[in-house]
Formats: sequence, C-alpha cells, structure tokens
Amino acid sequence: MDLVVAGMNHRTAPLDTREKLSCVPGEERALTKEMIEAAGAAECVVVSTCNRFEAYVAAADPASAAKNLERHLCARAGLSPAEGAAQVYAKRGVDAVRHLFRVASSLDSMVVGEAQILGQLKEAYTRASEYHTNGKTVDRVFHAAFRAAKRVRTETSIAENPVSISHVAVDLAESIFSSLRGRNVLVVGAGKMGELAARRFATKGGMKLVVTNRTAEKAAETAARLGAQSAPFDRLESLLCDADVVISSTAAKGYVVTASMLQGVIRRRHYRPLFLVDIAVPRDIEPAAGRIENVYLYDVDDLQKVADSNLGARSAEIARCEAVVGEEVGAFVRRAQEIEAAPLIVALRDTVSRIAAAEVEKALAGLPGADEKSRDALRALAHGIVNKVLHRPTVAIKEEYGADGTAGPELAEAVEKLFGLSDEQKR
Amino acid sequence: MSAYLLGGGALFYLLATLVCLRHMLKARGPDPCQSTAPLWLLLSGFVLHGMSMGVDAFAAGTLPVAGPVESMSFFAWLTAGLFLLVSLKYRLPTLGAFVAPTALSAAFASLAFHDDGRAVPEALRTFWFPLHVVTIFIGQAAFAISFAMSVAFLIQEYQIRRKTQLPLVRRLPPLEVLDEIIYRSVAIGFPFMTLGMVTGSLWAKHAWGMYWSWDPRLTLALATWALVAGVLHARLAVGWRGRRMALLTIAAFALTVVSFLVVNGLRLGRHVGDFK
Repeated sequence: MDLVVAGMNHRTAPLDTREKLSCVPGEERALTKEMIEAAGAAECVVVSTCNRFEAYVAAADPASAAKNLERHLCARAGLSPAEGAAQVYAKRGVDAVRHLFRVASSLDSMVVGEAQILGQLKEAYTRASEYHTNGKTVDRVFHAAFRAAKRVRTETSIAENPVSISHVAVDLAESIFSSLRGRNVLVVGAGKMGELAARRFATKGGMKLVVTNRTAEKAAETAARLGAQSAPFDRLESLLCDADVVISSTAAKGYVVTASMLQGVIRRRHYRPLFLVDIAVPRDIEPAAGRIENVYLYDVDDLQKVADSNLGARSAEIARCEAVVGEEVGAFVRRAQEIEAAPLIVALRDTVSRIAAAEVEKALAGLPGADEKSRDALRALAHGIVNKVLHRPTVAIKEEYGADGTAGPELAEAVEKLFGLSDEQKR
Repeated sequence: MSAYLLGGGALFYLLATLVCLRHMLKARGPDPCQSTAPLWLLLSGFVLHGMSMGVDAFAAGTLPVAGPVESMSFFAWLTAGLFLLVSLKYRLPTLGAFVAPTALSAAFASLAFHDDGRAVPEALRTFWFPLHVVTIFIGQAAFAISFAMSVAFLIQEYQIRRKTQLPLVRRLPPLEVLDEIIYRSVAIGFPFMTLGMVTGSLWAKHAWGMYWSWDPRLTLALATWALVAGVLHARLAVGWRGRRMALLTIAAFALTVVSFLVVNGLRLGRHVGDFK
C-alpha cells in the first residue's frame, strides 16, 4: 500500500480554479468517497483550505491511482489536459510523503511558518477517521507528518517572529508591558487596519477596549463590532492618560495627537509607559512624540519594517527546516521498509532454517554414537551457516523494499521463486 | 578544604555563565525563558561558595571578610543569592548572563588569593563589625541586581526605540518587568544600606572612638546614600520610572563601586577594607 497525493495549491493554480475544487462544509464526506472511487484507493484524507486542495490516498496500485486522481481533479476543476498538467500535481511514494511533511511543517504555505495549516491537516485527518477512510498507511504517514511539523517548530525559529503588522504590534506591546491582561487599549478612529489590529489585541484576552471617533455614531458602530466601549472624542486627552496601548487610524489630514499633548499626558500618568501604534496614512500622531520618555511610537512603516525583517529571518531558516523534514522523511521511509519487508524476511528465514534443521536431524540419525557435545556443535554449525548465508539477502531486502514504492512486489516474487517459499509453506 | 569548595563553586558559576550567554545569544530554538538550567547551576555554585565561606568562618571564629578579596567574594555570594531569590518570582534565566559573571570573577579572585583560616585582627572581633558588613553588603548586592537590570533595561529600550533588534540580545524581559525589579531591589537595598551605616558608626565608636569622621570612604557612602534616597523619592513621589530610573540606579551603583575600588586601591583614609 503506497501513499499518493494529487491536488493544487496557491503556487500552481489561481484562486478561481482552486475555488471550483474547494470543499463546502457539509459535503466533505461525499467528496472523500468520490476521491476514493476516482483513485481506486482504500484510504483517503481530503485537505481543503483557501490555499490548497489535496487528496491523500493509499492505493495498492499507486501509479494508476495517481493518474486517475489527477484526471479526476482536472475534470472537476474544468481544466483542459494542458492546463491540468501545469496546475495539478500528483506525487507518490517518497515524494508524496515528503510533500505531506513539508505541508504540515508550513514550508509549502503562502506565509512560510504560519501555524494554521497544521491545525487544518489535523482536522482533515480527524474527519477521515470519522468517515473510516483512514487506514494503516494513512495513519502512519500522518502521525509521522505531525511529528515532523512539531520538530520543525521547536528546533528552528521558522514560526518565531510575527510577519503581519498587527501581530508585530502585539509582540512589541508584550516586550513593553509585563502582561497584557487588564490593559486599556484605546482605538482612535474607525480605519479598517486599526480595527484589525484592535481585534488582534482582543484575542489576547483580558483587555479593555475603548473606541473614540470624531463622529460619535461611528465610534459606537466600531465599538459594537469589537465588543468595546465608546467614548466621546473631546475627552481624548484623559483617554490617553488611562490607555496603555493606543491604536490610531483616523482619516484626518493633520495630527490628531501632538507631541506637546503627549508631554502633558505622560506627566499626568506618572511616566507609565505608553505604546502608540499609528496605522493611519497620513499619520495621526506627531512623530516627535516618539522621542518623549516612556512613549514608544510605531507607525505603519516601522511595523512593516519589523515584519519584513522577520520574514527575511524566516526565509533564512527554510534550509534548516528542509533538513529536519529530510531527516524525518528518511526515518519514515526506513521504518516503512522494515515494516513492509518483515513478513518476507520472516518467511525466508523460516524456510531455510527448517531445511537446515531437517538436514541436521538426518545427519544425526546416521551417527548414533555422537555425544551431546558433538550434537550441539552440529546444530550450531547449521544455525551459523543459515545466518551467514541469509545475512546479505536480508539486508538487501530491507534496502530495496519499497525504496521507491515499486520494487516491493517484484522483489517478493523473486525471493519466493529463488527460495521456493510458497512451495515450502504449502508443504 | 574551603579552597576546594570555592573551586567547585567557581566551576558552577562558570557553567552558569556559559549557559546563560548561550541562551542570550542563541537566536533560535525553543524559548530559553522556559529553561531553568542556568538557575540550578547558579544555585549549585552558590551553595558550594557558601560552604567554603562557612568553613573559613568556622576556622576564624568570625565572618571571613577581613581583606578586600574576601569582601568581594562575600558580596558576589550575596548577589548570586539575591538573584536566585528574584528568579523565584520572575523567570529571568537570560539575565543570569549579567549576574553569573560577577559571581564568577569574584570567586576566581578569591580563589587566587585564597588563604585558609586567615587570622582576623582584634579590631574586627566585635559584635558590630559582622553586623555592619552583612547589612551593608546585602544593600550592595541589591544595588548590584538593580544595576544589572538597569543595563538590561537600557538595551531592551534601545531595541524598541530604534525599531531594530540587536542580534546579541534576543530575549530580554519586558520593560515593565525590568523597571519593577530595578525599583524593588533599590527599595530593598536602601534600608539595608541605612542599617549598615548605623551599625558601622556604632563599630567606629568602638574601634576608632567616634561615630563619624569625614573619611573619603564614609563621605562617598553618605553621598551614595543621599542619591539612593533621592532616587526612591523621585519614584514614589513624582513617579519617575523607566530610563531615568535606570540611569540614576546605574549612577548610584557606580558610586559604590568607585568608593570600594578607588578608595581601597589608593588606600585613602582609614576605612580601606583591609585590616591586617
């Protein structure tokens, strides 16, 4: 049984093609069944996210399963064979395993290192086990993939530093404040980006959000969406005194918060640190405010710069991640080979040992005068010869077996023929 | 015997220093703030170092702080101990990189000049002297901690303000945590320093026949005391914190180091810390 994957992702196919394949909640079960039938497979896990659609199947005949699955996906997405060849990929054996490991480790993601994909894979796998479309092969390879992903996350810094503006802002707040719990977050203005950043802060939990805006109705609207309170705009200065984090994104042309205003504010708040995030363009907060003691000001460009440098650091980590994935794939393949080769090796040893034992007994029957010591020596001799003779074939079987997913059956047939395994077993 | 213990202690300080530095410089891998290895190493060093001083104290019949090297060693031991106490509340293994080397160098210096059971002069065999030394050194150790945290604060603030990350120090605690430790250790150090000066004055009466003299060391100590009192006042009454507090704390600690090193080195006045 060998793993096959066919699908498309954000790199190979445009969004409107991916849309045609993506799976609507509720129809996962039907889709999984459909993939099993199309591929002629025994096991199947369907992974459908906004960036990828992939079907992982285990089939006794991987070559034809890959071909059938690829053809089926092209038909489903309405692609001509030429388009399909460019947009749909199909892999099997070690390549499919490596692909899954890379996907799980977020090396195949649009934003390398993002954590979501692993959760999505786990959900897909759980669904498959609900539908009972998992099996020995799928279980083994998915568990190994989750392990590889975990190793990549803990042994490299791929997922360490945030690469989106709002994540960077939260990260910075955490290196200023001892804890974000119970902090006041003031949202000035009703910009989309500001709301997004505020939402990111809110996910940290335990924070009090206050929204203010020149137009009171807009403040109330934004506050309702964020589950926050709204406050009148003319109280801005006292709001600044209470806030720990300020997210500003108004549409104002001039500065809404000036440096001299903040100088008074910081004194009134007894120099408690204040973190200002200015997401507006043009800017809301006078840049000179960033030089005031215990005021930390970041504008869009600053945040973007940090995000970019973090992304750069991530790309620098990719090689290390690939190395970890490579190790895990190697270990998985070796384990799989041993598991697959085990029955053949056992049968081979059984057969030859039985022949040897029979020959020893025959020889001993012709030597009635032999004492116990000589008998043991003869048995040990036969045992030693069996081991020595079988050593090379055993190693060769382990090495060759399923190395690329094809040698297995042929090798088994050859061994059976050469040593007459099936004949022996019949007897 | 005490030399072997001290050597063992120094070895553990060295290991703690190396592990802390590695944690601080390492840019990748699991969050080092979860690791307690540096603290255990520091604790082992602290225990051995303490046992070594205990053996010396037993042999001498009093605190072994007669010479500057012994005093340094005692001070380093207290600093390590205070840092371990701080670490119970705050998870700060990377900051061990600032503290462990202090303990390490003092232990090495003390090892180099180690002298089993040095005789303690008669002038120091009083009730007040050990009390003076212990209280003043606890105060000093607290200032040393606040100094280390202030340096860490300035580095971390520089990183945030400059919007760059220095490659060397990737994971320092948040500014507020550092600020809090700076303030708390100054607030703990100050009463001990005060107590140390009072007991010192009582000892001076006993040994020199007067409570106070305008000796260079004593004058500098008084200036330091006034500075620290000012720092605490600014914090409590005006609410100064952050960078300002860090700089003032560094200044106060620098003053104590100057009064210890310069006054002892140049042997100015009679309070030179070497009463042989």
